[in-house]
Amino acid sequence: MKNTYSLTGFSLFFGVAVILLAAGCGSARRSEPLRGPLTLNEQLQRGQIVFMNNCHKCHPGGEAGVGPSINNVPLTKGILKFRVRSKAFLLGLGRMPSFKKHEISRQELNDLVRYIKVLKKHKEDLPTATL
Amino acid sequence: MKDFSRTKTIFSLIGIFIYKGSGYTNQTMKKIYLLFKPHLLVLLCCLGLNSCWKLRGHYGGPKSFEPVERLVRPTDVALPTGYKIEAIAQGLTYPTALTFDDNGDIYVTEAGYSYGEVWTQPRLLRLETGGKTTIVATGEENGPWSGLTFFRDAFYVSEGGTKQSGRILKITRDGEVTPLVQNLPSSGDHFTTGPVISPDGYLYFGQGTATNSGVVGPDNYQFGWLKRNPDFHDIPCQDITLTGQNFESDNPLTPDTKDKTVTGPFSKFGTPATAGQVIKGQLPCSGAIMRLPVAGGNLELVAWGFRNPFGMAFGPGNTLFVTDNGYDTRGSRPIYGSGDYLWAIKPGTWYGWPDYSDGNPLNTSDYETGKQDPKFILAKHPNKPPKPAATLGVHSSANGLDFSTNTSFGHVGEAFIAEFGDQAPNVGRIYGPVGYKVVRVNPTNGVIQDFAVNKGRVNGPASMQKHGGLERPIAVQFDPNGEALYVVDFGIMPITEEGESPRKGTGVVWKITREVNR
Repeated sequence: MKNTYSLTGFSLFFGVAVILLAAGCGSARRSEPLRGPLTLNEQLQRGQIVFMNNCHKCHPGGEAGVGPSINNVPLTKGILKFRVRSKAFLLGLGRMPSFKKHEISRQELNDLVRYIKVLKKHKEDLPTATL
Repeated sequence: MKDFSRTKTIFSLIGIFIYKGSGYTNQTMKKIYLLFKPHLLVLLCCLGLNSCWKLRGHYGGPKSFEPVERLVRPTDVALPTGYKIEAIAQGLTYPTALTFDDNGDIYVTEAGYSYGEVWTQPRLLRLETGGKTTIVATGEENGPWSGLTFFRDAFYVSEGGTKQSGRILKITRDGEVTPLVQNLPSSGDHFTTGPVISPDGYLYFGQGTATNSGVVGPDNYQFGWLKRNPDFHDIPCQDITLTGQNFESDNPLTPDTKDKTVTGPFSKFGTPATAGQVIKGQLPCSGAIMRLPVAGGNLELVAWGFRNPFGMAFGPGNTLFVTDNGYDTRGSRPIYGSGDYLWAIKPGTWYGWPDYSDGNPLNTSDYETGKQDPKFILAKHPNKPPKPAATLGVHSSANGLDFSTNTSFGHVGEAFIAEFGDQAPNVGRIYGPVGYKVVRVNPTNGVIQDFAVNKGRVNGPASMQKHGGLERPIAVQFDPNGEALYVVDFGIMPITEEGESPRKGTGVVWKITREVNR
């Protein structure tokens, strides 16, 4: 049991460390005036609306606000989904509320995560709908 | 003065987790600590350098209202391809609104008051070519003049009423000032706003609330008005019944620093409420949109339950749209994570203040703070509040708005909104500057896009970026043809440890036009 706990603890520790280090690497700004228009297919348009209804107020355009920036943090789809669904992130740290299925459905969550990933990769003049 | 308390907490908890979760002995833990001590230092250094993960504090510096040199450089502002921006007037003191007369001449109001408790003379100015100004009218020390419109050979100004009470003023071309509406409850945190005139000749205006969330507290003393006007409080538009919740706070009105008092909602400071207590509704009232015939007549309630309904404009389908500044994390009843809103106004509707935000009830963990979880203060609610047309950034201070109507400018039917920018940390902690830009909003699906932002690695006012871009956009207005968007920039206002420090003579009017068709 000790080894299991220690492995979990250290894995988490280094996971956090990698995320925090990577978070310092680049700007979170992705908006049209700075990066050009973001081309969105139908799924991404749905994801954008889910983002606007639930995420934008704390992470405006994915940048820092009352919550931290998310555009420059290397989070996988799985972690993003877990973060949206679970209030307990980093062992309960963090102020972000959880969003249950009646608030963001499974389909909406898929659309949202896809949109966040595409927004994160958005570079000027790069058609993104096919990413 | 940066706040690293959250960072320290994170590391403490990570350490505790490793210690508790591992099951190792103290000796083993000591070895682990020594092994990873260098890495922890590296991580702490990274966090210290990383603006993404630290909470932003005060700008620093002393509180001052003295003019400072403001660099104005349009190339520091980023716009979508095909648009250009230029500064057409500079050196204004606390400009707040802009309108056009029937000749197409441009007029601007200077507020005459700013947060930070500084009064100057409110002025209505005509902008001349070359950036010069001519005074059309001046006001009393009762600002801020927060809004301006022109209709049938007269100007209409909303006067904030910090020293007396809120008013709607009619101003003739030769500067004669006549109050159209008086005695508006505008001596608190938020002021009389608007006005806008409907095609059928009604003048609509907003009245902000006295307090953050219904309870007068020490935060209002810090604003300044509680000391000047200790009996002032919020006034409901219709009869309300209270749950009886009361709020204990320090009593800054007495010299004893340990003195406490108890205050109820919709009551003057130090007056508790009781369960089932009915507060009679009145007109005029707090947190409302009201109207009257522009030619004069009876005041009517349009809608209520707003907090600070600042900007208003008629949009597609002649629907009235209003921006509303959401709750702050301050005072006796702090609320966390409340965005700013764009509302489509349905007459007769209650929009949720002081018990709802975003159409959602406040008595959930989403809005709780470490100080006190918000509970309902109204025993009954007039109706289920509607959902907003769009939800803007928490503390972004979404203020003036206007709609694009001309395809040559583009984005027809979308709302352009001036985001004044946060007043953190006085309104709550944030990870990065919020606002300080102009956004465009699709009112049919709530999608918000940046339109005019400062260049730089992170968002923020020009004075923080140390360049010549936008500072605090407070109003936007299309010209009568809809071909150019004018942005009123209030000027430099850092938040110091002594409060807001609005610098005189730093206001700017920007003009955005479209150069080429996309």
